Amino acid sequence: MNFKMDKKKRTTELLRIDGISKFFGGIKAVDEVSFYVKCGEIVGIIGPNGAGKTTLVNTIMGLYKPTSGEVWFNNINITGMNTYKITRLGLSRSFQVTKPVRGMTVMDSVISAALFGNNKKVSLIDAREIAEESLNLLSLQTKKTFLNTELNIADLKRLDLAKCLAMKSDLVILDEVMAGLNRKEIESMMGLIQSVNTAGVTFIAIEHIMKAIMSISNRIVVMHHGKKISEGTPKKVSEDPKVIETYLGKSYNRIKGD
Amino acid sequence: MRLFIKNLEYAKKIVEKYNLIFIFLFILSMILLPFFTSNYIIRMFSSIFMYASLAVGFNIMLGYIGYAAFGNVAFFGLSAYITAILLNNTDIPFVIVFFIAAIISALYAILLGFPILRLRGHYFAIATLGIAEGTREIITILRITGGGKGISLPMMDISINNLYLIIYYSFFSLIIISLLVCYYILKKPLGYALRTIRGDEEVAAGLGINTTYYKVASWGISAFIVGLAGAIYAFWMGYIDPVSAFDPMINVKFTVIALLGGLGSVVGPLLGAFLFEFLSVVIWANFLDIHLAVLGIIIMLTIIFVPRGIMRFLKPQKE
Amino acid sequence: MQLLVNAILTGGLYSALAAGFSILYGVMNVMNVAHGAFIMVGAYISYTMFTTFNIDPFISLPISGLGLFILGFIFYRYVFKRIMGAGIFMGMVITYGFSLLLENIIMLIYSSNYRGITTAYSGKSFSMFDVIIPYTRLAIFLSALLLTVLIFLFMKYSRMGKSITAVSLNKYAASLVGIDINFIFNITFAIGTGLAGIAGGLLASVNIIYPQMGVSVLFKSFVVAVLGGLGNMSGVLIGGILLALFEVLGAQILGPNYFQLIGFLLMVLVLCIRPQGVLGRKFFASVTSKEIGTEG
Repeated sequence: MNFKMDKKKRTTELLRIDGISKFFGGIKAVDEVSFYVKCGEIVGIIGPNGAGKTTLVNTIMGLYKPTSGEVWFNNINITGMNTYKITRLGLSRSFQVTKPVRGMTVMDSVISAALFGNNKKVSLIDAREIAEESLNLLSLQTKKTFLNTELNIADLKRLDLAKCLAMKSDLVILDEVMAGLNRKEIESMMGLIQSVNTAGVTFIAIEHIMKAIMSISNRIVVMHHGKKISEGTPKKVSEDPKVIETYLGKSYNRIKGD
Repeated sequence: MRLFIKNLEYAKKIVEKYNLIFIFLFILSMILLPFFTSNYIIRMFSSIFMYASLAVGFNIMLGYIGYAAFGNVAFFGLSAYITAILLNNTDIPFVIVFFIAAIISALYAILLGFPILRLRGHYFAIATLGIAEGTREIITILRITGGGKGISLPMMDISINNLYLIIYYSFFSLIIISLLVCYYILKKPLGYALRTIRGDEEVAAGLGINTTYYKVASWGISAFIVGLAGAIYAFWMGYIDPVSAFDPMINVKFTVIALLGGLGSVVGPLLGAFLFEFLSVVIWANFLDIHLAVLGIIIMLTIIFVPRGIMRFLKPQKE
Repeated sequence: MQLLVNAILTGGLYSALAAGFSILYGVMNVMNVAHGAFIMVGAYISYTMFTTFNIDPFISLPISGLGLFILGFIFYRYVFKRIMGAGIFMGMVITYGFSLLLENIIMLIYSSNYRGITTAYSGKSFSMFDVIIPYTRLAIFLSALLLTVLIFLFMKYSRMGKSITAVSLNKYAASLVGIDINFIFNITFAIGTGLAGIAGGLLASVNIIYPQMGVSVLFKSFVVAVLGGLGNMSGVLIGGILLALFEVLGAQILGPNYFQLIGFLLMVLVLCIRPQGVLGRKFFASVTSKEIGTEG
């Protein structure tokens, strides 16, 4: 599949989060978070449960309107825009809690994605082709006539990614796409993300599986209690005392000794 | 029993293979029907086609998008009244009046759609019921609509037989066109959008589908079809009042028909209408006193045992 | 002032009407379209108790309640359970079917004629501070108040009540703790219908009774429940009074013709602006397609 972005966009910031906060009444789910993602990167977001990662994604994607702050995508201010418009601009996401679309087959779901996820008009025939390709990439072609509700979690996660690819998104936000996968599946997913990334898709990946995220990310952002507490290369972040103190310490050392 | 099922399967295969021929034959026979039967049968079929159209309107909302527009009768009644008013006060030919009434109904739906369609499933359903009630109330209050006494439509200078023929063919055209619209919708990208919205609206938005637009547009189309039915109905009856035009029983009927026929299918509503009419005739003839109860029981049984309607029964392959 | 009192008294009645509906939706996510019909049956039971046994409608409230409780229990056990969890629509249609059945049965037994209950104190009232308070209405209001309090206490302190709350918050967790979800649903459903029965008895003391009365009652119940916040028991009380207030005010300002319309307008307004109702939804679920509850 051809994902390559225009050469001239290569080094610019594809996504910029500027002081985004999202409060729900008294709860500061996201508190003044800022960072950027460059074209072609894989940025990992880690943090304990409840750190506000998914809320951040929801806010970026327009599901929530931010209490304050701005989101810029490809030099367009997408703060609080309607989700479908954001998607059409080239930004898509997978869902942490899998949401199988009831009453549709796998193939149809991906066709839908291909039809509507793009700013350009896509014909039904082309959409079918794109859907086939995406499904093949994620080894789901054998299940394409299955109903969404018949898939297991691992396949649903892959389906999410297939849809994002079918939409020809420039930036894909993966929300815990590895959760529920076994060792082998994690490795194949990692390989897939990397190859698609090389082909031109930028990724943000929210993850708990340390080993995976640390090895494929260019940079890591660490969140805790809604705030960003650290940012940098995986190595730098893993050595940041703040991070070790709140979260990373035990698990990473354990993995290091793996 | 096994032999029966085998024959059924065989019959299904034949029907599938010669799809178009059967459809053609059906349409042909329906067109020729009035020349061979009595007025009573013509009226019955007119009624079937009318309810089928209403069921199609409902099906578009519940079957395709997943929004239960229980109050669709609001558009039926509204359109009936507009037809009556226009025919009484202007010289516009009745066919055009039908379309004007339907368009106004559609606009009404679109207008209401923006706020109302934001509501989730069941809230939406009851909100539409509220709209049906409310529309009826408003019409009862307004002077121009004759209030609770209703309006009579001007008598046309044609014989009863011809009137029945006009009605019959009007409703017949309506249902055929409606079904064609549905078929077209399902096949085209629009169908994918609608089904995705039905499946999971949040995901649909995430796929780049402008859910508001599609929901409102669907309701507009639904209201248009229902509106046309209402207009023709008013023309047929010659007299309407708030109770008959917004009769909740009409609501019930087309809901049950849509269910029986199978939501989300194309011909479902038509089959459901035939089946329902058949049952109705049987029940009315024999169980007048308890027809409500029987209706209720049928509804419950349908939901429990055939929730997907007979279409699923007859068409086992997945869409 | 008189208007205010009228509104409050009527509000009590409205909230009693809505209680059963609200609890069914809040706990089980069920839109009981037969709610009106259940209320109607309760009214008829009250009527029968009065005409046949001369029992005052307020005294026969527990009977109506119990009768409907049993009816609801049976209905759930043998009919509704089969489609539980199949989606809201199914529930709505099946309860609709059942309501038709109920209506027809009552019609056969009692005919469609209008009936009413007239007790010794029916038309009478007393005055206090320049305000006329009819005895019956006051009794209704007090009963509704008592009912709300009882429900509140029940949910909060009784074992059953706590189980119900647990199930409504998280089905799976509740089952893990050993609560029989199905049984709880069954009981809750029965409680909902029982409440409807009591409300029917209350209604019977002031209103005309006829088999089709369920429809408008259903709608009012829904409006009240939404106003106060679906699933929220105390909200029901507030919602009831609010609706009554608006109706009275609206009738004053716009004229008596608009009585019914007000309820409808109000509801649409509320649904568009603040779907959670005044006190908010008790149990965690979304109302519009835009709101979602997520973690993390």
